Amino acid sequence: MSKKYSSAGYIAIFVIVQVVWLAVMGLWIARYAVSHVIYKEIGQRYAIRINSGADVAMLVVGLVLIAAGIAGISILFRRLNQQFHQTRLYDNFIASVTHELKTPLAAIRLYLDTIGRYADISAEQRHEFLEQMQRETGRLEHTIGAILEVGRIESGYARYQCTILEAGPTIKSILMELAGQFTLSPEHISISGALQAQIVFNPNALRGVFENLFENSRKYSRNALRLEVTLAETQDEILINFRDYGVGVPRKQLKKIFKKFHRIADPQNPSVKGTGLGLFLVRGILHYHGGRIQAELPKEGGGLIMRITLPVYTPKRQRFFDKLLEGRR
Amino acid sequence: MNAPIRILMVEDEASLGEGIRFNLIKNGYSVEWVQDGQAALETYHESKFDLVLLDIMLPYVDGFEVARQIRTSSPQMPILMLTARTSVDDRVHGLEAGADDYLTKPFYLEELLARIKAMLRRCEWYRQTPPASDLYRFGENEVSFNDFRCLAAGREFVLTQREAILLKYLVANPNRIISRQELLENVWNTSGEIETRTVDIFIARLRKYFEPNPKKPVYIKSVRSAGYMFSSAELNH
Repeated sequence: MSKKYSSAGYIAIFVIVQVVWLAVMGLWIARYAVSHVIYKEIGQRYAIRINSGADVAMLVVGLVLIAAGIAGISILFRRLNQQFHQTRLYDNFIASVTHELKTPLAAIRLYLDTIGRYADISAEQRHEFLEQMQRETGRLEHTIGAILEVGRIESGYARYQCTILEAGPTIKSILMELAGQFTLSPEHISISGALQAQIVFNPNALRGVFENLFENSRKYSRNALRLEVTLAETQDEILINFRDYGVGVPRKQLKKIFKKFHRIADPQNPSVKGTGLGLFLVRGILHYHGGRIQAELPKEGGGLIMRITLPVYTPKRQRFFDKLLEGRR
Repeated sequence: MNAPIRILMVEDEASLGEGIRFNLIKNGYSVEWVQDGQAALETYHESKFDLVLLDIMLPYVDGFEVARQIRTSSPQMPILMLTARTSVDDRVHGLEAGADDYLTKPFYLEELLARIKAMLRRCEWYRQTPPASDLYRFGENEVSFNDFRCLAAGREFVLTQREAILLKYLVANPNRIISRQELLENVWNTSGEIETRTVDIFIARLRKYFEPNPKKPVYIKSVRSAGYMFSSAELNH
């Protein structure tokens, strides 16, 4: 897929255009050198003479038009470049989404065929196959849900039913529940710091945010998943630092990872699965609730820190929180 | 009692892997299951297998590379690729990397089992029917159908099992138009589920090996909208 939009083609076009341009310039200079006396006479005869305000205005309009033309062409090129980049990302997205949808579907069909094919399957095996199908159905639901939610967030139609939550206990209980779901032993997750503040958030969406972070950390950890979460608060904001000890992210990509469809190619692990929607969704959900997220590289020890900021529920921003609570954002 | 047929299954999706393993064992195969490309190559070289069932999107080393490396050391190993990718580019890429057959997810269990059976049966058929003469010559090419060794334009190489079966079929039916469908049925042992494009890719490979100019073939000619026709050099000149 990437072949279609390889940069070699564009570089070749660029080089050809430059060569043609230089050739035309060369011809022009040669022509001028041969007949410069005639050109000089023509130049003197038609020399610009700015005598009036109207002449100045014409000159300015001319210059503005030239500048506008140049700006237009440069914008066109930049847009075109963005479009190519977007198309490449979209191709990657289609490939990964196809995989994420078809694999669970393949498993479900396989287990259905299996149950239908053999008469001598034990009750225990049948139960196990049904459980596998349920898990894969959940996975399908998750992927389809993410795709639909991205659509809602982008179009501005996303609505989350928010409530006032005690930040500390809510976040801690979500983290502990996810630690269980990801089979993290207590020595592999540390949660420090205490929060007194309240936040306004949709509890499921908040869980979704952390589930995405857990999932990413697991995918990009070559060894056993290890997490450190620190909680802190100021008068207006609560701060959550979510750190893993995985492979991290190249410094240049720290901002890009939140873009839609963006996925990092890791030569050591070329086929880490996913749709490239997770962090885009995380950021979208946090923005909706007035929060922010950014990725940072730890000073030492490797891995990645996700720094989340959420607004504390205070009367100062009553109008914003009222809108959230009424689902009007 | 014969030793069971051993299949190396490379599938990183746990649920799918468990389901396939259950079915293969149930059908009398012995299965070694690994979940990434690196482990696949290590396991493959440590033990002896009769068939490789290979996913493409794998951690560490992808399925294309695994197929390529297995092909380098064992040209005759039947490889069935199993993947969610459906684009024509991916199919072509997979077959070029050395896969003999290609099944896309989601697949029907019956079809998976039938394909495996067909691939193994074809290998068996090949082993059991020696050609009239082991060494076959056409033009400047020399093919040994026993060990798939070839000599073409002074270069020595080994055909893959599927390439050898295809060539053997063409050689056995000279100067006759052979349709893609006929090749699918007799060389791939399937009727139409695989795209006829697969046949074209394999024909292109054979031409690359044996034709002096693959763009103007003299041995394996295309017959417009009918199929292919094999003629040995003697008849041509």
